[in-house]
Amino acid sequence: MRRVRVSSHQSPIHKLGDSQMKLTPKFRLATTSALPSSMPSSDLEQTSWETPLIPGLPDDAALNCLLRLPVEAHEACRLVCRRWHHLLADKARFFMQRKVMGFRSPLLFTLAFHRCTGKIQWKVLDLNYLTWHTIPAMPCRDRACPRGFGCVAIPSDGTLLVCGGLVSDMDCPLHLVLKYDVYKNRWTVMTRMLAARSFFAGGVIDGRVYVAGGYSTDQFELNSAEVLDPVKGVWQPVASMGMNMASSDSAVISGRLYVTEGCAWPFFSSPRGQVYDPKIDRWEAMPVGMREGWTGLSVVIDEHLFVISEYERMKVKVYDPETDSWDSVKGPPMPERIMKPFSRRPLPGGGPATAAVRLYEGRVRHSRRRPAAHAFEYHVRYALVDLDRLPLPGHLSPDEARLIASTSGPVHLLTIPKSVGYEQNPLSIYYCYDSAEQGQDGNLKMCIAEVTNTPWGERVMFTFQPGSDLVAKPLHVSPFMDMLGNWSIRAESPGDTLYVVISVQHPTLDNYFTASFHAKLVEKTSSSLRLATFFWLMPHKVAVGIYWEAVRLWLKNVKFLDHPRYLNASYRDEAQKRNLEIRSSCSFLQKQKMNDQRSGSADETAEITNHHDQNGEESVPKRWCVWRDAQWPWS
Amino acid sequence: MAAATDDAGDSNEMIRVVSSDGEHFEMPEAAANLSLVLRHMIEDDCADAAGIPLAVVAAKPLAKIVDYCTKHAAKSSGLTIEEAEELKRFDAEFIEVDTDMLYDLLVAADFMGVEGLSKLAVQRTADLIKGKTPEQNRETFGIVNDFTPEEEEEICKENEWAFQITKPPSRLC
Repeated sequence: MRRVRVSSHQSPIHKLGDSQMKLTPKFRLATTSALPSSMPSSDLEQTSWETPLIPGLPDDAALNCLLRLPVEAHEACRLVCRRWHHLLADKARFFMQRKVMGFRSPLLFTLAFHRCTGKIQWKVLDLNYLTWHTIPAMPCRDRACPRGFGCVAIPSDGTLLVCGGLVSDMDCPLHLVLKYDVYKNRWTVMTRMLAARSFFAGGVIDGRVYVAGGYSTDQFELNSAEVLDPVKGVWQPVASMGMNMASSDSAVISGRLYVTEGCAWPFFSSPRGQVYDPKIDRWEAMPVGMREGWTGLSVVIDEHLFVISEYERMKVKVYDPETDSWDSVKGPPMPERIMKPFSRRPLPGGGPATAAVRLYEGRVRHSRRRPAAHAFEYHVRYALVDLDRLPLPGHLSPDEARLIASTSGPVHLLTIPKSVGYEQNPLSIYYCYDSAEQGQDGNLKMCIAEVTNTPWGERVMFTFQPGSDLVAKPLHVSPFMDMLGNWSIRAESPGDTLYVVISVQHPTLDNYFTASFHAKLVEKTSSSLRLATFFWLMPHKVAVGIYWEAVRLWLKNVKFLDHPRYLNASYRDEAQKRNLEIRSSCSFLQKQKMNDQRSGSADETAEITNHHDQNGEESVPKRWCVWRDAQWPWS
Repeated sequence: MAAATDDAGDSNEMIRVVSSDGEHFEMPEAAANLSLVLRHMIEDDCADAAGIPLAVVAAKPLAKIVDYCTKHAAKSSGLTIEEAEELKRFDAEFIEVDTDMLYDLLVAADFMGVEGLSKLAVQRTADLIKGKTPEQNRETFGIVNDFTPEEEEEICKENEWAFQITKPPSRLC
């Protein structure tokens, strides 16, 4: 894999999208041309074969059988005889024959990446046989951000286009367009896009590939859109979207491209959306109900837009264009373990349940929408420590945490241990459990966030409700923003996965900043040595195995989702749309100031207890706490 | 003849077919309708007491096909999950035959246009091929190895490039 060394923001843009970026020979794998010359040449017509494909069967019937062989069986079967070799050794011929016979070859392409190294690999699920396959590595830089690509499948051609993207830690968008040909099993570099873009919309309409919006080279959102004619291989501009917008998701419905900016909790600003009609080359605004309800990844089945709602516990809903509203799809939601980012369960069976430390690996993503749209993500490791079993110096003791949270059970601290050489530990969270649920994750009562602002060495602590909570931020000590921001925090009891999402809204700028941390449990341990090793070797060295996160699913054939089970009416009705009003009681404690102001820890404890027992706005010192009712935009 | 015409719409009508070796079989019209060929014959009023002659289908496979169609016709619409599974079990047992019978069924089903059976037989053949070594396949299907040893060696070295199968990463967990 070619590495391009990057030293500034300017140069890589040209290099990465550059057509000079050649594929290494690794990607040009030998096909049947490697056959010895004595072999029947590949252009021999079938009629010239003297032997039947299968003795006793007419050739067309035998062909019908052989074309049903899954590709993993080809390796052995091509050795049977020349005719079988002729058919099976060349996948282009094999798939072409299937096409001629009217067989469908539905394949699900999944962009997977290694959580530690960020290395990208495409996985293919053969929906006929439900087997997973690996295709050759995409000729792309190692550090490309997997989520930034625009991926478009053209099932009729058997091709997959991967466009644009972003170099993970550089905010550097790419022009690059790569094509994977399923019949040749080969990647090629295509004509690059007119504009470098990442996090943009894309879709195929009438065999032409449309892309729109996204983040551009200067980190601003684009309003431009362009179209690729795959036959000619030329990109041409189409009408501008009329607004500068990056896109989290898009869909093609009835020949029109629907582009959504994407919903991000807590929905302070309504996500924008545009619709493109290629027939008249014009954009129009997306209906308000559609754009506000598009709260997750979508898939189009029979011209209906289905969304797996990330913000409604993976409930599946379908858009009704007549009423501009969404209907719940009956049946259970997507299972939690396939929550986005979709992932494989790392530890089946798990380690000992009583391990003092659970180790998580994941990615932090920061995105700022204005004044400059900006997004990047990086890899981190966190430890979740049972403080009763392994107290950590420099943090609350478990008893202190229980006092603050008014709980009596275990206290788990999510943090980056200090011994690692990390210069900052911006956020630690205490998860305080009820005593009745010893060791269980099911009964999380309260969380305490501990936010440290490294340059000033200041630390802020405040409690928040698990699930989601909105806290006003009247503190002058702010690690993220000025003091006008509101923090909304979303966190749930850590299990095999863990996530924390903090959004900051600025009241005057009408924008927000979002930091999210998604991680997977990778190990349970009670050994402090293991803990040290895990973090000491943090970058790349620890072999923790490979866990794949699928970030984008692309269907090559809609048949897959036609599965009746998915929409089966035999499941019991879902409850009505829940009232999602956010409980917003909150309190702030500023530990350091307290330490300065109060002489002993007894006083501090008393203050904490007093504050929390009354749990009312009157009892909370005004400079530390503000009540605020969160508005749910749908209610 | 007149009677047959009158009862053309009656699904209880029994249809007679005659194998290439002269054996007679009967099946309900609904069953016969699963065969494209028979359905067209019935529609064209060619089904009479003498039976529809099937010149290329021998008695042994025809008996099985009549079984298959009768079973499937009886359970053609409004299947419950249990019935669908029962039908699946029936198919699985039905197709557990030797290769000679399998070929006969395959060709006959194709000829008669019994789509379900055709698919079943073809898939069964593919499944038989799937898990076998080259030598086992040659043996099962009577195929002569026309490679020279050198060629065979060459192919073994050849990179089977498309779609390497991914093993579940369970060992990594």
